[in-house]
Amino acid sequence: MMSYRSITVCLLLALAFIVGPFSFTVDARIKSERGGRSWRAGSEGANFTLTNQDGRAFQLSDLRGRVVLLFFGYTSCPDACPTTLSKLAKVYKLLGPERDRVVTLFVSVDPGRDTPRVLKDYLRYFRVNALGLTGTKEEIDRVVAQYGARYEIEKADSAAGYHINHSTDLYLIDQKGEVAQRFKYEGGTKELADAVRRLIG
Amino acid sequence: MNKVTLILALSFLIGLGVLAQGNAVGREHDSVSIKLSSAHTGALLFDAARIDADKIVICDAWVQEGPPSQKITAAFMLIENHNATEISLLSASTDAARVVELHEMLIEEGMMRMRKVDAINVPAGGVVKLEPGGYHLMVIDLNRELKAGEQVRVTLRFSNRIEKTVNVPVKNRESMSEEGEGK
Repeated sequence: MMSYRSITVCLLLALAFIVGPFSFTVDARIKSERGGRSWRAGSEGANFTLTNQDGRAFQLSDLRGRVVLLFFGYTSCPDACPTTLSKLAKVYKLLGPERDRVVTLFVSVDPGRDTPRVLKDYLRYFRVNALGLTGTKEEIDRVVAQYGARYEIEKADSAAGYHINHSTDLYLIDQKGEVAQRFKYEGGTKELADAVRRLIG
Repeated sequence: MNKVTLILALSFLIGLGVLAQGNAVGREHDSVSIKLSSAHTGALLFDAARIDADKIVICDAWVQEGPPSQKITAAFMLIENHNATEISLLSASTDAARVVELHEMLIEEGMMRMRKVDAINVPAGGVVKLEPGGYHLMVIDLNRELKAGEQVRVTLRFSNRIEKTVNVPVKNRESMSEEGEGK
């Protein structure tokens, strides 16, 4: 027979086992909300207007019916942005003939340097079906907020001038213009290609 | 009593299940860091013949090919220190650009942060990796277009007035990552 004491101890232990991991989850959520705006799948991806690499007005709704991969970056970014674009090139390769149904949007957070022309020359290099988007700082800030993304311009003691710290999440947007999934920087290419395929159906 | 035991047993099982899930998430994170850091542990098993008097070995160096319109790029390499004391990489230069700086990139809560550093320390008998997602040589104001297959000369200046010049191949990022990331 167990004493009441040992039952209590067991119950507390069991409770710790059950609640422990949950408190962890809550912690992580608070963290991410503190870091940026809170974000829920499906709640973002509302339409927006920016300028594309040909200098023409672009709306997200222009791409209704197509799957979109959107991320924020800037062309003078030496590491993170080329990494993401190279990763996307591999995703397109994995998609094979379905690649034409997927459009990548590279939204610049550096309107000071990334003119439509600069974006065009930059993106041409990567084997990705990508549009470069830019705009006024206000227009870009609105889209950044809409997606719960973040960036900060940092005046650096560098010959490269300022650099920009920016969030690296990749947004998978469905054919109706809603965010279906959000991928971390570390996410693998296969995982991404599979998610795109699921949307294409 | 039997009921109590049953409830306890059930609670434990549920608890363990949840915990196991938590662990699985943890493991995923681990594998990321392992992947980032396991690239070159065998490098120190060196061939004595290829070590210079300064006992510093540069290997797996590459400069990132980029869009022709871009005037900046990054260079990566492993720096092995076979000395009994720590050395520091203090600066670098190249024939292909006006300036080279030492930079560190890190992802913090999904945010890419970059900063210029004054030195990159290589511990005694250790190796430091300049690799995507970590340290890089920031190559600024390229004076020519760099194409995969070409080489650039990079001079590295270390503490103790050690200077080393190496030929570094230009490589395409996409072909590089195809080797590494099996994901």
